[in-house]
Amino acid sequence: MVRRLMMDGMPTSSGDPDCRFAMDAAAEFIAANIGEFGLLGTNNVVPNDCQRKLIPPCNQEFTRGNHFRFGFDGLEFGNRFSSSATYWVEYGRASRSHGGFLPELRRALAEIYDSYGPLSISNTGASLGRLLIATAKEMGLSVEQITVRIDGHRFPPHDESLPHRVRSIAWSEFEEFARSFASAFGCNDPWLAFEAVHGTVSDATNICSTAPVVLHNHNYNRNQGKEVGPPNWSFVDHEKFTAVNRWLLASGRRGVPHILRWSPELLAAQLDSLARRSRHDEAPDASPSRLTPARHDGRGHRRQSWTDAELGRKMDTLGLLLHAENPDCDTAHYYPIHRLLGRLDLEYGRHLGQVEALYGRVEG
Amino acid sequence: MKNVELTTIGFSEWRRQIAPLWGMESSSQLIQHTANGHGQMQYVGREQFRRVILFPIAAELEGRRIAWTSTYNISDEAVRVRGIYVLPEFRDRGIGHLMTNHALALWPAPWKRCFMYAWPANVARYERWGFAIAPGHEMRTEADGTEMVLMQKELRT
Repeated sequence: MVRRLMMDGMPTSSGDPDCRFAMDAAAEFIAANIGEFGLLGTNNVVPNDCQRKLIPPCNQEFTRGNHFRFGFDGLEFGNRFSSSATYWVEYGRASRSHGGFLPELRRALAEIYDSYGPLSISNTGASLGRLLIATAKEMGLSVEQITVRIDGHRFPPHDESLPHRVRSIAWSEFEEFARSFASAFGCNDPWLAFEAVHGTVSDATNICSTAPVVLHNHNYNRNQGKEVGPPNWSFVDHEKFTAVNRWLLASGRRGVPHILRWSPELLAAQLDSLARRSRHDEAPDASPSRLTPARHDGRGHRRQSWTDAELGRKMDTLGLLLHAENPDCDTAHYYPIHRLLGRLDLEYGRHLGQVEALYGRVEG
Repeated sequence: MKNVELTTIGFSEWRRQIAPLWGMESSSQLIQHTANGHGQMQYVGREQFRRVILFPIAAELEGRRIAWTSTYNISDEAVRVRGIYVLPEFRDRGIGHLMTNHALALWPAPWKRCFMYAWPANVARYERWGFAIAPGHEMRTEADGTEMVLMQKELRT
């Protein structure tokens, strides 16, 4: 069907030096067209083509006050129902200056403990998991370590001084779970399915050791191994990392899949960390791997594979299968870093203005 | 080119018809409304649904669809043209240029700059259309080996 554009309200004057007028004119044009030509407008809406089930409304705090929100198109905390649905995330504003990473992490664990009572923590061998266990121990919180052993493979050590619960699972059983998890909740990363298995072992609220904090320079071209443009940094949220949230809601379990995002202040502390700031200042054009502190890197949850190469290979092969079976769930939300820092009341300095100058401002 | 009509069409049919450009004939349902692999989109979260305007565009000749493109705003000041696909038998007749000019003319004064990604073979063509490689940008290589470079054009000076 051929449609005609709605041009009502379209400003006719050009080159007006008054920026306020320009922004008002942009808002006017958007208002006149959003109903038909917005991403969810009548012209652009697409039918659902995914067979996933509806997930119950969110009834738990994944982060403090659920300041971190996610969704697909108009659906919040829900499943992907269209292969081309836009995955989005939002972050709350910081209400105070952060107090540094470890103090904010301790505060997060205390708040979670106050809300949920005794906790469990995934003992996947990931560096974040080990940090969480050590911090909870130092704080004297009642926590239980959860280890999942895949039969025939090595598993990470645990803290002998803290309660520890183990579940053994056959590879075939895990593979079946991972395929079901991927299909139902949109996730082609078997390590995240593995993380979810940890949440089945105890009735306690489980804190995951995944969902890293990652910045990405879009103009670092991995395939060429060099920069192909001025720095353009985004804060990255892959949709696969909220698959555990969707699984928790569907299964009625409680959990904290994004501990590093628990509060805006904890996130601010990480983005403001001395290491991150200094690396950014020293190497504004650096590759993402140079910018990302190892402690929070995106591959921390794969540590177990490093100690068991055969498990790593099997996970890689399974990941390819999951990707082939679920090609629609591989998107990410890129938050321009200068906009996120504004919400967190942080400034990075001299490099970030370039992006706004090039790609333009967003009012508000 | 005479008798070419430019129209805005529904996104569903647009993505189905432009799919050959990206070799996605059998998976057109995976084509997203916007592309943001290189961090151009400045709107975030649900703001995208309140602020992004997407015009899927087609060219028709004597009732037959022969070309497609799309345009959307990436901020309150810049837009992107995404995908310029002309059926092989209608190429080199100025249809792509005509269609792109139409797409850019849809945006009023607050939008002052347009971006697109160009394959190497098309850079010279787009330069003739008034685009230039964005300052400081070089050809990038995608995971599938495809090369492309960011180009931009000032809509108003």
